[in-house]
Amino acid sequence: MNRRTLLQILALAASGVLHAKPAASKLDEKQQKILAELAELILPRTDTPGAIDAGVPAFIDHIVSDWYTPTERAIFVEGLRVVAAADPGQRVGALQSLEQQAASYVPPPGTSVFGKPDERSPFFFKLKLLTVLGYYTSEVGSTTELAFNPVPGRYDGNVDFATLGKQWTS
Amino acid sequence: MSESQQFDAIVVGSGITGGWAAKELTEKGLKVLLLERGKDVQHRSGYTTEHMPPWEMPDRGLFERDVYDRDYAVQSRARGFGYATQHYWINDRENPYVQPPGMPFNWFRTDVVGGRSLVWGRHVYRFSDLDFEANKKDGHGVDWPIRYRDIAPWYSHVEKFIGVSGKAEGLAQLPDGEFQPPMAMNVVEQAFKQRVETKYPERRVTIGRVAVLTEPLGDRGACHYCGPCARGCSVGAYFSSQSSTLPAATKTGNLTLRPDSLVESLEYDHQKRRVTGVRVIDTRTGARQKYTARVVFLCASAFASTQVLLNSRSEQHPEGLANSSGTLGRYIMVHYHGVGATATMPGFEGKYFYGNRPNTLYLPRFRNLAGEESKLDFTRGYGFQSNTFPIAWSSYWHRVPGFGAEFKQALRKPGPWFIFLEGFGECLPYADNRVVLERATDRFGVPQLRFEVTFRENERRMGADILRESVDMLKAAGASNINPLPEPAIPGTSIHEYGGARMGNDPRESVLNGHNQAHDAPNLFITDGACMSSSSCVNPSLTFMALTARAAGYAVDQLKAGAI
Repeated sequence: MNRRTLLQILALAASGVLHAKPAASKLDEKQQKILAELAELILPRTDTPGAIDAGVPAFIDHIVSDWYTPTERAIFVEGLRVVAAADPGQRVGALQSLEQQAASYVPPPGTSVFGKPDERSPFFFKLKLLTVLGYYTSEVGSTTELAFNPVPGRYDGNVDFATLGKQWTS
Repeated sequence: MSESQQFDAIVVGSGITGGWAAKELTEKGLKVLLLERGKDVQHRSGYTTEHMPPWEMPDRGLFERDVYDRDYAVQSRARGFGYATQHYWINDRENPYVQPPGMPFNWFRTDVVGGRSLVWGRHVYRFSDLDFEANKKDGHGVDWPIRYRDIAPWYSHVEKFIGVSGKAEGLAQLPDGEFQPPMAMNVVEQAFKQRVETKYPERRVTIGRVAVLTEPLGDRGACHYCGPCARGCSVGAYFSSQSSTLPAATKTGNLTLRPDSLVESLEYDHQKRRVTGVRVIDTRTGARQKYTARVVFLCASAFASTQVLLNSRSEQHPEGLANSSGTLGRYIMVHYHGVGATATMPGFEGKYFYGNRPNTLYLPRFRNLAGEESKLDFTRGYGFQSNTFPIAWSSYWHRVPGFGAEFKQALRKPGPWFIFLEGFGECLPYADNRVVLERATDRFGVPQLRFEVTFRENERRMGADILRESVDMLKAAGASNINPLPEPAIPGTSIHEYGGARMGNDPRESVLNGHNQAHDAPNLFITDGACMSSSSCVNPSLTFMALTARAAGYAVDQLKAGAI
């Protein structure tokens, strides 16, 4: 995605086309803007909608502000600060370097997006987790990138994935 | 409602056994008062999160951090606990119990009409004479006053009513029952079965026998494979009190259900040797009231029923009611659980599934079977449940490196097939595995229950064997990334709870006779897990239900004969 597309998407997001419940944001405008850029870089719009289409930035803002512990919030806000301090034209590079810094981190066994998080996981891990969680549990992500079928009606344990091409929501 | 309102029977607890007692007693013409400590949950309308998509849940269903730590410190450790089910579970802060230092115990409890029948695992297996004869044969615990032939017809009676899907296997240690068609195995489970049974011809891998319908039964519909049963099922595809026993009891016109009614203790007439009243606390107002009836069934769960008896103290029986043997509260058993292994199964990439089957594989006991000369360093045995599924995006995301379009594309495919072998081991009955009343009381002034329950040498040796065999079977099945799980879960985690008021032939060493009738009070029956003299290694609920139905039949006969 080029920068222009990203800006268009950001404008769309700002216009209120968000599917997540709007939360009382405690991240400031600059932090929100960077967060939206980063989320979209992790899960961009492709043949399916991207993180911004799915309202992920607002969701992450809500979790970071209202659900995170002070320790988690401090790590997250510091991560945003590091990205903000870097050249705005080099967001991909900044994210790559954050991923490298987090590469030695080994998440606890059984780590899922829904479990009790490891408070001290590095910023990149937190950001990626919240982006994945926010996207794949949104209505947009659940019904486009995933297949949503609340009442399957039968069970078949031998299906070729290729015939579906998508994972189920649960 | 006044004390003068007369009931023929009072049933304490509306869960799996209480629902059964209410159904059987009302159908036999008794006017029944069913007391439930929890709040009411109506079938269908009470299942407020059924089929709710994640985006409609607060915080997408993430646990409520402060609330969980404050109010559900224990319950939030239960499998399946979460936003979609938390309204069924008990508030730990308001309803404390005591875990002495070094003796953690997970007491997983609900606080609603229907009890744990709403959230249970639904696996149902018959005990066999391997279980009923075990105590007599190896000398642990007291001999069961019944054998398989005594309970077999009641197993059938229960299975026909609750609906059990499963496969007949002709195994002596896991008797077949009245089965609806079994659920299908997935492609990996079929391979696992074939490979394990080839390497170990004496072992059997079968699909779980579950109280989930594969065909309609009466007013209840077949499973539609949505997956999260524990939110509640409006079509009644799985057995719960709401879907099954309570409607049957209500239909008779003989049932009075009273939610929010915590039973504090029983009143006993020492001269007549009868329970003469049930003391109830209204959990909304704290008001106390007494109810009377000719017969009382305690079905509050193994530990809660034991607590009621321990708290029914008087000058004549300071150590609790029906405790002339001194065994009340003792011989507590819980399944040895948590040891096993996980792995991935290569060779099934590209294979996927349709529908969410609420069932696992089951691998029946193969250790210390009847007629075998045991070469093992432990007595009794264990079985396995096995979950097998492709690792979903929610757990696989952090193993896919990078970000951007390639990451998104890579995460579109499911991860490898995961397999989890999870042992359930029989725990021996030990006199000093017990529950006692603490001096500290709860918000109603009821003494808290204190758990002193630990696993011992036999369980640890069995655990070592469970670990070895899980790893070896996964190897035989061609699994990769085998990850042994050597640590047992905290006692209680299996939610398979037994003992406290055990059955036995001799009133000097047991609380109940072979009809779940208290030796000391002929009009008192205890038919939940408290009655169990041993724990078998199979999931217990079916046996609790069969014993309840059997005891209810006996109680009505005794009432009609004027004997109680």
